[in-house]
Amino acid sequence: MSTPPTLARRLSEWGLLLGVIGAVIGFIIGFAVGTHAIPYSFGEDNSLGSDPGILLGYALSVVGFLGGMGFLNYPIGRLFGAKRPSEEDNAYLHGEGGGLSRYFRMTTDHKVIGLQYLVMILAFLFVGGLGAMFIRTELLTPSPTVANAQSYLTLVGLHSTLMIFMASAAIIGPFGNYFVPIMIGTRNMAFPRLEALTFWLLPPAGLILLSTVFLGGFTTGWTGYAPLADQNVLGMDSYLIAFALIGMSIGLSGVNMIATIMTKRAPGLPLTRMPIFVWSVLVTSFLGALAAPALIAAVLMEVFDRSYQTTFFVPAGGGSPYLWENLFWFFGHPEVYIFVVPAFGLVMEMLPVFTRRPLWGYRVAVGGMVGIGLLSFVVWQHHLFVSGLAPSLRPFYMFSTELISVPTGIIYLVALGTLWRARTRFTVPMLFIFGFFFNFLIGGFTGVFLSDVPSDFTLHASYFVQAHFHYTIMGGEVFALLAAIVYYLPKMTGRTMDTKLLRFQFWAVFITFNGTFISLISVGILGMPRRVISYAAYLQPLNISATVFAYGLGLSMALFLGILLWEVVIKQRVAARNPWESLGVEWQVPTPVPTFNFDRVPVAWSLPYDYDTGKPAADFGPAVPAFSGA
Amino acid sequence: MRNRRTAIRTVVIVWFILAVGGDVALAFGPIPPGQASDLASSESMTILLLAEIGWPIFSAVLAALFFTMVVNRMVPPTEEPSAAALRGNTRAQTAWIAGTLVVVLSLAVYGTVALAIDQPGAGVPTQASALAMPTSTSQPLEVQVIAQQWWFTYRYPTYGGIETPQLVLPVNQKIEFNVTSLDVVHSFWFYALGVKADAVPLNDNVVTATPTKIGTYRIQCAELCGLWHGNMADNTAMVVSPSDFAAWIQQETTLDAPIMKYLLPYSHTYEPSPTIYGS
Amino acid sequence: MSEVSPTGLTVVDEVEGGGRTLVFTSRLFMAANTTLQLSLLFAFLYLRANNFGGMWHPSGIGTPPQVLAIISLVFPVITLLALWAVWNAVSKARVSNAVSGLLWLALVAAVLTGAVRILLMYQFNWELDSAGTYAAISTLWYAVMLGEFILVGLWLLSLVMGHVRGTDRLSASHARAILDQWAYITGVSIVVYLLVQYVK
Repeated sequence: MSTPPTLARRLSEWGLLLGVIGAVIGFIIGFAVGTHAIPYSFGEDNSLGSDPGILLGYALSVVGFLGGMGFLNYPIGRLFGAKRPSEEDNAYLHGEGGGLSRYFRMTTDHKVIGLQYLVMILAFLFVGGLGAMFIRTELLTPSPTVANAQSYLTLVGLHSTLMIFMASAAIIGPFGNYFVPIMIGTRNMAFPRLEALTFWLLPPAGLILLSTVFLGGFTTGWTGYAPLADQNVLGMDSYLIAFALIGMSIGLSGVNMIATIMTKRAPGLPLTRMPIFVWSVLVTSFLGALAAPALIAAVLMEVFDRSYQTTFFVPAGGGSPYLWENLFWFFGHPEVYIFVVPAFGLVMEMLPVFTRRPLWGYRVAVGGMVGIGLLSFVVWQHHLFVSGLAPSLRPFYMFSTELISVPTGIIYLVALGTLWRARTRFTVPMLFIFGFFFNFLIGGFTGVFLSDVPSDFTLHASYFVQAHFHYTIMGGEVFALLAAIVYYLPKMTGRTMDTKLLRFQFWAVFITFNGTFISLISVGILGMPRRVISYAAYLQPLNISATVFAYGLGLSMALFLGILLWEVVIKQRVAARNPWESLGVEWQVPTPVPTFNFDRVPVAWSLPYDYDTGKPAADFGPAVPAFSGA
Repeated sequence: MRNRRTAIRTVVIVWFILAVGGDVALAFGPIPPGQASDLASSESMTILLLAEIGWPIFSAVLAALFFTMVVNRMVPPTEEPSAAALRGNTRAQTAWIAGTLVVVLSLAVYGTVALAIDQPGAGVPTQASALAMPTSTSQPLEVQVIAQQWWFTYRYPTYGGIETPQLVLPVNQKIEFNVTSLDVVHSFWFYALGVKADAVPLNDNVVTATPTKIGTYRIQCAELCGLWHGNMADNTAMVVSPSDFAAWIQQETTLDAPIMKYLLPYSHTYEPSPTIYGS
Repeated sequence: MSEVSPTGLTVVDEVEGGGRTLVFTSRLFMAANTTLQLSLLFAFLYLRANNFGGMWHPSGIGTPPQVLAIISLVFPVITLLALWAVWNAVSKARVSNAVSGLLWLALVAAVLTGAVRILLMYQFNWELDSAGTYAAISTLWYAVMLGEFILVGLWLLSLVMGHVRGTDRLSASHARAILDQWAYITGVSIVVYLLVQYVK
């Protein structure tokens, strides 16, 4: 660097520490103001503080954290009309010069953000998974044994909420961030600082959620139904703030992705030649940007209910529990498509590589995903079929929900078309992709029973629903996540993992996963409700079966994590440049990817699926072959 | 299996056997929730229908995946189709989309018809005349289910509004459940009768069903309602003959007589006097 | 394996972006905001229709003072007009001192917008824990709109400071982006005013 580092730059090196200090200071101020300046407080156990105190404390602690990390530097600078950051400042912020410290501070390089997301996702997955192990252990017996009612319900809430946090960013976070700009030929996201912000909202959200155990926990599960939410002790506030942060992260990331894909594509790359994964990110981002605000509205009302004692959701005061249910599920349903649509995109992106054929029906696949996105906004009342709400609307929502299986079926059509007559390469990612299709088929099939109102009367709020969404989210999205990690690891880190170990791990996770959730499908059909600590005695054998398989599942997932850490971090097994021989642009750029992705941006683009001719997706000029041996 | 055509034929035959076999097994197997009420039978019918239609489709997709996975390895395709054919066969796509649409539409129509037959005006409170003693078994007998943290109470308005902790119903009599709550959202789940209705405070959720089998059954809460949600269940719900029911009503009326003057008058919803939550 | 495109160029050195992205993203935020506003609208109408226990509008709960409510709308409209004039001038490349003057006017009117709204909310005089749901949703909605005015107002401040200090002269796309955003929020606040005052 030609000039000595500025103060801002030097402070940024200590960003994380300053962030923590900022968080503590923010919390103290917020808590003090909330507890003393805001007069209302609940007639509950206030030995730990009041709701406004906790809520404002958390809110200001997040502001303090972000301030310490350096997120407020640019906005405050602009408020005073300061000069725009210099080239050097921007390059520094972008992580020029490399080094591990980039990952622990505010960095605007989308590739760094992608890897940060990956670590955060795996952390959520791990902690949430531990929660699941506890839950399954408790359910070995029909009556409470290892946990008491409050801690059990808090565990249920923590497991589910952490997994929701994980799933909402599992594919978009790491792989959307890392690869979308590369795949569309741009140097960075439309708003790089904003993207860094969407990541750095996650660690506070996770920690705030986990802090509920110090505040008494919460008993509503991840759906936060009011008026039970109004009744809860202080721990409920952790859930509210954490979920609000995640909602903001989803919304902002969605806006950023849409802006990037729509306005920063390389010249010569029309929408109809984008990789299918980018299309899935685009659809998902619309879902995120448009659905998250409904959650924010609902959370705001709940916050008012708990601190100002308004009665948005309390019927005796004029409110209605249905208000929460409607707003929550208006967000909640697109949310689950946020989970699964990027997984579809990723799987369809990888299929051509392993079948050595173009994607069969690219346009139909795009149409399918857009159809899913549109329909996902008009199905949410299928969560409310037995709630007593608007019975005359049930046929409409039954119809719209069943209709959504048509565009989803298109994904299977495209996959089968690509696989038909293909000499498939059975690499580890391909195994996980088959697992994905098998599991999601079961998940989708069980969904049909839930979409039909008469059968939903039997199955709603039972373990059948639980198995349905675990099949689609875990069997679908998480399997796609594992496939993507194995597939993209050589690109993101230059490392790879031992194939034999991974194959064993795949079969372990596949068998234990199906064992667990087939047991739970059965137990649900036989009448076991969700979120219960005790159940009817005749259900015990199936619960034991589910728990045993679940322990195996937990071990298999831990095995994956272990392999990942061992091979990538400790042994550092080096990967080939393009081990899968993919034609995608992301594999044409060198590894490690240069800080600003491209020295020069290609202008001639085609779909990256021309495996019959071996033509690469973008023309970098004669110097860069797609892979050796077309 | 040296020949691809033979391979395809084999897979199709295996699929056919599986599909038919599965459908037959389903038709003879026990389908939840069983036959203890007309509503439950209708739900079982729907579940069976969905399974019967869905299983062949499900197994067909599995067979296709299996084929591409296993058979393609054993009998690889000999020549690569031309690039043009690979781009996507419009006919196949249209056929698939049309096919799935037809299945979905028929299911939706069936579901709507089933709903209309089983639950006319479901969820909506009926008029006050339902409080009168039913003149025939097809006229509904109103039974109120009051949920609270963490148990259910039942009221019989036609029998003087007596309140009981145990649910007893006469067989072959159409019952109209009016489900409500006193505090948070619960859900009344009478599995054997196929009845599930959320109990929402200040709301009257109506479901009708006619029990058809005498026996003792389980009732549980199906919506997370706080600490003891898991314990909000009992195995004492009974469906009995009309004479046994009359005798039980008599017994309960006698038991309730001293406290009747303290009970709130019967209404479809109850608003507890201003309460402090959590106390 | 590599083919030269019809223009003879195979690569470029830099990709345009900038202004188009700003205006587009401003509209994306408006779309997201729409869900938020629709949720609040849904809550308003739903609570009004349900009116459990007559608690939508219990006796003794009045509507906000009419005059102050209208004044609270006048200032954002002034800001809007000023911003429109700014955009008009900048997009026709008629950058002059008038632009700076208009920007200051817009900023002052924006600050007054916030101030009057805070004053108005203090005049609500509703004890939220017993005032029923009309009071609750109206307060929440006004609070949300106040927050939005403050956020966009801060953005305006940064644009004004940048322009006036010469560190970042206002571009047409920036002017357009903030004009769109402010117009949207002003429009929504007019709707909120009408609902709270008349559809109560």
